[in-house]
Amino acid sequence: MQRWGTNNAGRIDRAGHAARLIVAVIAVTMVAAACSQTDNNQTATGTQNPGTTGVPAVAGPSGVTIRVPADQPTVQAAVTAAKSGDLILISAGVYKEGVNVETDNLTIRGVDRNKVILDGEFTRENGVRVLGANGVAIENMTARNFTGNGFFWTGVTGYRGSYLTTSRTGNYGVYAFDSTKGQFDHDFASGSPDAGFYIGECYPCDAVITDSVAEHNGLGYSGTNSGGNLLLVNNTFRFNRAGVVPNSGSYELCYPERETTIVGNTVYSNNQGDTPAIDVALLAMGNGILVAGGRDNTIERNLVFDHERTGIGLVPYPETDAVDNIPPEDAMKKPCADTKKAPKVDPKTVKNPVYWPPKNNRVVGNVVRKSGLADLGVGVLGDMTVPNLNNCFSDNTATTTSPTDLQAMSPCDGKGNGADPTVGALDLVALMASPRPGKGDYKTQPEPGDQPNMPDAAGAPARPATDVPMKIDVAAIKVPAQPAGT
Amino acid sequence: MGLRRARRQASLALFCVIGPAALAACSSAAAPAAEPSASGTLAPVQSGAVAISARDNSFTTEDITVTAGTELTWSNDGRNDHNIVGVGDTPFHVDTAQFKPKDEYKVTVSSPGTYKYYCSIHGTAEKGMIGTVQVVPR
Repeated sequence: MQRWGTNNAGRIDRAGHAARLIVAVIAVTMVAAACSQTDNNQTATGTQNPGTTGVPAVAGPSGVTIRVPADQPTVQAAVTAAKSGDLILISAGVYKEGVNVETDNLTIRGVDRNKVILDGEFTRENGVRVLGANGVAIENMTARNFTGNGFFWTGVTGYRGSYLTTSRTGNYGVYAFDSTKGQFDHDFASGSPDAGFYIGECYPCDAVITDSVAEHNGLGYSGTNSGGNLLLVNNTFRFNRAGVVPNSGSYELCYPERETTIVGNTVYSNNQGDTPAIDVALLAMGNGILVAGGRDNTIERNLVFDHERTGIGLVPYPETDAVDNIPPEDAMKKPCADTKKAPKVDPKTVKNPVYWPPKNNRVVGNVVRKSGLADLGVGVLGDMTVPNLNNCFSDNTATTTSPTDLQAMSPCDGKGNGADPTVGALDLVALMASPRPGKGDYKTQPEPGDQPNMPDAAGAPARPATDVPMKIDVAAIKVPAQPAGT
Repeated sequence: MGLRRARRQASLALFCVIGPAALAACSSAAAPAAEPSASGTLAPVQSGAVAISARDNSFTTEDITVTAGTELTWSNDGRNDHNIVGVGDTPFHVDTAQFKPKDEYKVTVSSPGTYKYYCSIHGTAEKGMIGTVQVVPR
């Protein structure tokens, strides 16, 4: 059967129905011209690629702009009327709707980030949900009061969310799942019990989160079973229960989390006990960057301060109700798509609890201070030991570590000093058992103030997400300066 | 299509009792092929009792082929809410409230045909969290 509706179907159609394809190209062009509600007389350009229904789609901008409410009364009506490559330009207003997108290469943009508001009224699930439509960009608007997510892409290749604001959402703020080649930039996400930003179930993800802010969430960032060219750079995570939490678990496919690059972020004061929270957020509270059962991550040149527990912590994730065991080492490069074909694992073969180990992570050149337990820490459970996890720490500015001599014990270059890893070790069992503040209500979290608008929102041409992720010069990123007033 | 539903076997403990037997039946029942899948491979035909996992946010295995009379058990193995909505005449249906994490949903399929379904929270009839059960005569 058609899976995610794109490539396989497209190949079949192209091979078997060349004539129909040509007719469809002409038809798409004619329709685009005919429905030029605000056509600026450009013709459809760009390479042809298979659309989600096997009909050829336009990869580049079509030149057609559909204005809301001038041309279509609602955002959903505009999306339904739109063709690949169109720009949907939304005027200021509160739109009490949730929008589903199933058309490739749309650009959906508000003219004013703070005045174009999708409002779920705590009855609708998603502000915008992009289902299997490749190349959809959403820009310059706010989603608030949704029971699920603010902006949600699933099963796509090519996505971008720029200058987006989310608040008071019941699951995630800005969310990409089972999707690759993406970018979140200049976004602000607050008031979600799970995470403000989430990228999950992808390998390699080929995605970037940059220049964005998460606050008052259970987790600022969560990435379950994601990684592979996944960059979190130059963001701010503050006032969440926990800041940045890449994690592994068998409740999603494509485990484990691996190869996320976390560089140049400002992470502080993630001890917020009044946020909404899923259970993992309750456990993770008081940590800045906490790798929970992830591996092969790079954590460099971040500024991390003011945390009750650890600034940067590497801990196992104990999954008590796992539905699979940890894959063997030779499966780490397996593409996610392959994992969907696997049958359900016989529960009696699963060795619960499964302890996802934090392995082979590289923590270098961070500035970490004012941590209650340790600026840098590694925790172990079961038969793990700090040395055999093969994490490394070098050139970090840190006052306290756990175990006590962590940086000398596990340097990234050269041999460790052989110090006793049990001295000053984190007592994870006690920490997990210790009482934490209860969950706050996502519906009452603080409303964000006005956020910066994208440049020339009313006049910039459509820019579908066919050029993402942006290139990042990771090596050039420096440790951020201390934020004013902190 | 006839159905026998034992909806929402919510207890994990109960599942642990049922699961191994079901999976044993499942694993022993692989038989000759049905139709080629989209990937061109032949899907094995299963029978007896077959388990499908609803994780966040995928059904695994997405596409299965079973003989008439097979008991299907979907378990919500994820952390999120899910549901099951049949496409067209597909008579599978379980609401979100009855398919929370750890919940189960059982159906015995008796009539041959191709039955598509999806989770409406994380997909539509064609995209996202979807699945297909092809039922062939015994």
